[in-house]
Order: sequence, then C-alpha cells, then structure tokens
Amino acid sequence: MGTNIASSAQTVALRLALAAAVMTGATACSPGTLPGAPSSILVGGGAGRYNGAITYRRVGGAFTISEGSQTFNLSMVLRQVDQITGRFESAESSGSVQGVLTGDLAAGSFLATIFVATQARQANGTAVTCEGRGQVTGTLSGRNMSWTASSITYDNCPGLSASSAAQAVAVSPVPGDFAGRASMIITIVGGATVLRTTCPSGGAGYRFTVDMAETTGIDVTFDSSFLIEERRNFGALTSSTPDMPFREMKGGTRRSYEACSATPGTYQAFFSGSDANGNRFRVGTPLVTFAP
Amino acid sequence: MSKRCAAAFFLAALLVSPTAAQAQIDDTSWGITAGVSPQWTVPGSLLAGLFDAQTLDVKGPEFRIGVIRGTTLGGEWGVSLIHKRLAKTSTLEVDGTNSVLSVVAQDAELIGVEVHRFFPFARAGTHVQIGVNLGGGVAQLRGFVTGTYQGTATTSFTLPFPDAFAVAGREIDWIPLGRAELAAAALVGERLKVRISGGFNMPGIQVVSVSFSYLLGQDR
Repeated sequence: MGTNIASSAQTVALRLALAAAVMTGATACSPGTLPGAPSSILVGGGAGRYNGAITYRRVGGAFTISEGSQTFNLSMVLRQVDQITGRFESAESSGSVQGVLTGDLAAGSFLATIFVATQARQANGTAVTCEGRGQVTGTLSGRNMSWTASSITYDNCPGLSASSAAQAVAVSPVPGDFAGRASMIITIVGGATVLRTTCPSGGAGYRFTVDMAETTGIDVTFDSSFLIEERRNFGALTSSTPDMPFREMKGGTRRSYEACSATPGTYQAFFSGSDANGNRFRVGTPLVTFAP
Repeated sequence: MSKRCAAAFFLAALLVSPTAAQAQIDDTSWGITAGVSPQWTVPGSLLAGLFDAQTLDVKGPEFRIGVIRGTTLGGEWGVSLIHKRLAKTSTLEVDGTNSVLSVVAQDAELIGVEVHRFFPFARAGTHVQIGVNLGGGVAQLRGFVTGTYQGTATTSFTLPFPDAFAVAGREIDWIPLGRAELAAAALVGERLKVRISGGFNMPGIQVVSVSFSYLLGQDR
C-alpha cells in the first residue's frame, strides 16, 4: 500500500514536470509573448532604402520617353560629414545621385547631381539609352523623401532634356543592393566644403582628397577620359577632359587622388565607364566648394 | 662620400705593390661582383620619344650584385641583379590623347637582370687593364609615381610606375637594359679587381661606375 502511494506521488511529480516543460516550450512559441510589437522604420542614421514613384517629363528634344509614373527604388547613404550618395532604378531608368545634405536623413534637404540612364525612343522608333545629368533638390521628412530635377540634359541624345519628380517612403534603414551592378562611391575626404590651407607646391590654396570606392565587388573599367568642371572665383564655368590616368579598378577596392586650387570657387569631377557585367555607370564628386 | 671612397680605393689599387705573377689566378674561375653608379641619367631629348613623353629627366643611383667567371689578368663575364632607383626629382611629361600628364617619381625603381662581358684590349703595367664593358638585360618598372594635371586646380594621382604611360595608351612593365662602357680595371692583391667605367647605360648614361670583382678560384 505504502509502495503504491509512493509510486503514485512519483507519477504525479513526473507529470507535473512534463507539463511544465511543455508549457515552457509553448510559451516560447506564443506570438503573444514576443518582446514588443515590431517597431516602425526609423530614418535618421546613416542610410535608408526608399520605395515610391518617379515621373519624367520631356522638356525638349526629338525623343520620346515614358512620362507615366514608374515604381521607384532608391538607396541612399550618408557619407563623410554631409555627403550623400544614392542609387536608384525604375522601370525605364536607373542612375545615381551624389550631393550634399543639410540636416539629416530624418529632417533635411539635399542638393545633388543626378546621373540617369533613361530608355528613350527616337522619332523613327529606335530605342536608345540616353545618359543624362542634372541637378536635383530634395527634402527628407521623417520617412518621406521627395525630389525634383528641373533640367536633365542628355549628352548622347542631342537636344533631349527632361524634368523629374520623385516621392518615396523609407522601408528600411539598410540600403538595398542592385544585383549585378557595380557601385562606385565618390566622396570628398573631410567634406565637400574645403577650407584654405596649403597646396603641395607650397602656396596657399584649397587642398582636398577625392576617394573613389567600388563597394559591390564588381570590377570596373573607366572610360579613357574624365570631366572636370570648375568655377574660378565662382565665375564662369570652365571644363576640361583630361585622360583617365588609370582605367581598371578591382571590385571592392578604393583609390584616391588629390587636388588643390589656389583660388576660391567650385570643383566637380565626373567619371564614367562600364562594370564587368557590361553595365554602364556615371558618377561624380559632390560639388566641392572652396570657402572664400 | 661614395665617390670619394671609390676614388681612394682606385688610387690604392694603382699604388699597391706588385705581386708575383704565379700567385694570381690565371685559370678561369668563378667569382662574385658588386658595383655602384652614383648617378645615371636619361638624356631627355634622346629617349623621350620612346616613352611617348614630351620631356624626360630621370636620374638616380644604380647598384649591382652578381656572379662572374674570368681570370685576374684577362676578361670576365657575369650575371648581375640590377637595381636602379629613381631620384624623387625625376620627372617626365607623358603625352596623352587629351592632355599632358606630368609625372614625378615618388618611390619608383627598376629591378632587373643583366649579363655583361668585360673585354680588355690594352694593359698598363702588370695590374691595370683598359677595355670595354658590354652588357644587356631586362628590368621591371616598380614602385609609384605621382601624375599631375594642371588646371585651375591641380589634380594629382598616385600611380603604379607602369601606369604612368597608360594615358598614352601604353603600359610599360619591362624595359631593356644595355651597357657599353669604357673601363679601366686594376688588380688589387691576388683576387680582387676594381673596375672604373663610364658611358652608355640604358636607359641612360653614367659618368662613372665602380665595380668590384672577387675571384674564388685556386691559386696556381
């Protein structure tokens, strides 16, 4: 009898232990016990991925471009000091932006150069990819981003100019990747506003370093020349197209070069080329301002 | 300082007392050699065209070390490792398609291998030989240079030395070496020969070069 009672007590204890173990597991699986509801997307750190819509309007030129609203994906990263770099794509366009941010990604505005490859059709219906450049102004407010570009001109499609407007909402603080495309990031070490110091030659001047990095691991080949646009004393624009001193750049590597101006003004350099997968790219420095 | 040492060593070699002929190594034997040229220069107008350059002002010291085979009273041939360093004042201007790239050596050098042969054709006394030193080889361009474009702002790129010619559509990784020098060699003791030479030293010229050759063979 005593043995039966003891055996019964052991059985009950074992069942309780098993029940506790099962309950513990069930609790861990219960969605009601997650440590809080998913938080909303917060923008304001170093990057953001935005989804939205972009439209283009043809302003001039004997080309036809799609003027309907296109799905728009943009990834933007805040680089040194106040510089932003971004990549975007839509149904009939892709490109990059490089510029200067005032404020931050949660509450700010930016002035950037947009490089865009747009699918266009000539008057005879022939499809052509037009490579354009323009200035874009944008605002960032909470999760919302919008930009407008009043005049994008296309070098290889004479006469074609377009305007653009985009609105997008941040969907992630992690920049997206654009599969198979190289990503050239060009920044000015120390920021796009350069103070007067000393040039390597010894005279007073505005000295700065341009950092060029490929961030997706895809090799790139630069075109044989690059473009430099300068405004000496903030006056008339002058441009030059020196030969590119190096043509190949391994994916995932970086190179830099130094520049120095003896006079105040602005400086901007533009580079183009193709990646190992045959994709064309065009990038530039932010507009560098030499503080007077 | 190296010039003074070389001159002093050469004078000492000339003044050293003669040794008995039977103590010298007259059988062909192996030896080791080392040498230095305080400065070699590339005359700009002569060779600029070979490098698609407008101007060329390249200079620097040269060091050599290698093995030889020869006799104390005869000639010798040898194989040497050559190291030509480019002085940081070395410059060249490379013609590109759109612009001229001004290149300044930063940490650039030529490293190569050269075969030489010293042909004595006259003798002064028992210890001094007069002859020509001929050689040829190949050297690799290594190190870095700075290439600069002059605009409103100067734009300077640090480039691997071979890439300095990329704007001209060329990448020069190797260049030929050549040597044609008038030389005087003096026997110092039983095994050591000191040779002073000067002349053509591709890709340039040198006023003076000093070489030391030490034969390892058995005495007679």
